[in-house]
Amino acid sequence: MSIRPLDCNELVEVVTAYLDGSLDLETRARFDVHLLECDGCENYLQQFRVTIKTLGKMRDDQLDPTFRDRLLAAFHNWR
Amino acid sequence: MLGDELIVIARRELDNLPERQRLVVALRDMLGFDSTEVCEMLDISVANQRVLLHRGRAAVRRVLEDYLGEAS
Repeated sequence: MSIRPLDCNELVEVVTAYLDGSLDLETRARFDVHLLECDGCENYLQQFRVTIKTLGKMRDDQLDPTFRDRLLAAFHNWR
Repeated sequence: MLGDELIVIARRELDNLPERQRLVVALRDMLGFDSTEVCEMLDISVANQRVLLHRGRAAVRRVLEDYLGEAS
């Protein structure tokens, strides 16, 4: 059985679910098959990875103080 | 250094995001909480969390791409 790849628009819609590992197996396979044949989408995915990595390097003392308070509030409400 | 400049540009764009996108992106990608935790903190659905995360990341991706395109 051959897998029908996602098209580029479909891939863009599910890229965040893909990166979270929350796609169902079939959609994940269709995603991966598309990546093999589309340099543009491979590049797009790579740019998301760079984006996430860059955001991960930000330190919280670089944040706007008002926004930092809001983050802390969300955290404390949760605990 | 290129990496430091990317962080400055990413932070500037993060500050420009609509508030809920900004919160989700900061909690997920900066502070490292997972999807379930962020949904609980902000009292939002899994689907909503994903949409906010996607839009926020996509906006940051765009400015980084523009910057890297100009730099090369």
